[in-house]
Amino acid sequence: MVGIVFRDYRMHWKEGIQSVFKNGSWFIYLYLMIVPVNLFDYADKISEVMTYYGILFPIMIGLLLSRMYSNGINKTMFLCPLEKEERKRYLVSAYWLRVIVPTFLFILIGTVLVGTHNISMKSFLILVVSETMYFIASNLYLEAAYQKPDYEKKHNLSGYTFWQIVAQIFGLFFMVVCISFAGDLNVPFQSMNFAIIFFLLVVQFAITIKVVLGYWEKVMRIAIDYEMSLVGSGKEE
Amino acid sequence: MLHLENVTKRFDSFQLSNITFDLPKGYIMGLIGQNGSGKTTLLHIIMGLYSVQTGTVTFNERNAHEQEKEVKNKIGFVLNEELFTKGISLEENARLYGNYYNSFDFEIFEHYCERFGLQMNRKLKHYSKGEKLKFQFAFALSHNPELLILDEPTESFDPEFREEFIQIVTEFVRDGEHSVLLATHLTEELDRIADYITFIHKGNLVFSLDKETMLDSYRMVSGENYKVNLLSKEQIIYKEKGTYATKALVKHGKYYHYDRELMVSRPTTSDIMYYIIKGDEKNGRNRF
Repeated sequence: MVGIVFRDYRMHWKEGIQSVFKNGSWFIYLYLMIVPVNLFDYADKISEVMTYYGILFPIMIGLLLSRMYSNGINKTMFLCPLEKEERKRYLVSAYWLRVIVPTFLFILIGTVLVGTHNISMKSFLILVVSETMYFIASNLYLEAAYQKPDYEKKHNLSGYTFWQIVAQIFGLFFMVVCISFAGDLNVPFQSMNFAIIFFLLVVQFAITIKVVLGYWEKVMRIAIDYEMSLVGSGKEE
Repeated sequence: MLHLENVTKRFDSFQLSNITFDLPKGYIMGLIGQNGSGKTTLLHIIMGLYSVQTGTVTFNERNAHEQEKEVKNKIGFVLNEELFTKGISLEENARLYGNYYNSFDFEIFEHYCERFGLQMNRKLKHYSKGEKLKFQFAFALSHNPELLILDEPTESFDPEFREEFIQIVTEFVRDGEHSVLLATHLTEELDRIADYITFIHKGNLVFSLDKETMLDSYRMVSGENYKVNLLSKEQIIYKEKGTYATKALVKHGKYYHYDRELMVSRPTTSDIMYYIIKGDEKNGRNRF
């Protein structure tokens, strides 16, 4: 199934990019600016700037993937001969692909950065855990819930958008805190700062658990159903 | 082949109520009705996109919603909207979506693309609306469907292709094993090719009859107004008073007799649809 998803994503990447802009998800690109603006205040070495961009890049890719290919199936595919269970398997495979690809990229870049002594192993591990949780939460994105005001109420999804936004803001906040506390990510955290970071990591874990346990089944149930995922409750003709 | 039994579907502002009809193997059924009457909704139900509140949709003895994979494998669709992936070629689209079908035949697809004048390596987005529908039609025919569901495709076809389309559809049902459900409000085509007509109005089934029975059930009557008024009110579906004569659609039976001064003729499908809708608008109730 992963092969099918990969092939579908390869064929639909242009439409995915278009939908990012169409649905107002262009805010992803602000990520490119937020941290560097702060960074240039104290970064005196180009390698440090590159380190931060190296960390930021997989996060951006992860968020971009979650918006390009939200949990949904296009109408043509709904018309194709697939059982609900097969559609669910497709969606679950697609979801994990969108989580694993940026996580793997993050690990790959992080390993190089650890190898070149640009970040410490401890910082790397903390960021891997945090970013994986970030990808897990943000990939439960359901486009219709953001686009239609009464969607949550109609589909028993109360609090869905709120928790999605919380998970995303917190993920970004965590990264900014890490960077601020560490200054240089290669310098070991001070014990007080590490305690705060550990606490924030626990909070992020709790948020991710809330998002996954609270909405996974509901999002999948909606996404495999044409009527709920694309139409909502209106009438087409 | 296709059987709908008391199908009801409710939306916030619309309801499709108790739709029942049968489409046997080897026949073409025309699905008629105004815009917004529920034709597309009904087709979406048959194709398994919408669930039903009550009733069942059965295709070759299989419940279309419970055994959707088997059923969808045997249904080809042409819908008057943007389907498939615009940014890739026709060939890539066919390979991408054809993969999901048990018996998608790429050679048949190639054959129809050539016949319809479509270049397989050209991206779908570069084609006009009519050509996109031709592509949908080629795709639909390429996985050996038993039933073709066509939702108002002909409006976007040029007159030349419309003829070819009619020819292909007629050929498709010739072996007696395949059927076509064609939703349209261009009823002239149905007068030529349909064996059955199902008429939906405001979400209600007006009738589902074989075409001959339908045409025999009504008569167009025209003549002087007072002569038309002599017909029983129950018989008149709707009458339209003109400058020189009054025209009316009336219910007809084998033993019905008409005044010799009235002109009586068989109505067309379009006449039946028009007068029934007008009658409903005037009377505010169904007098079908």
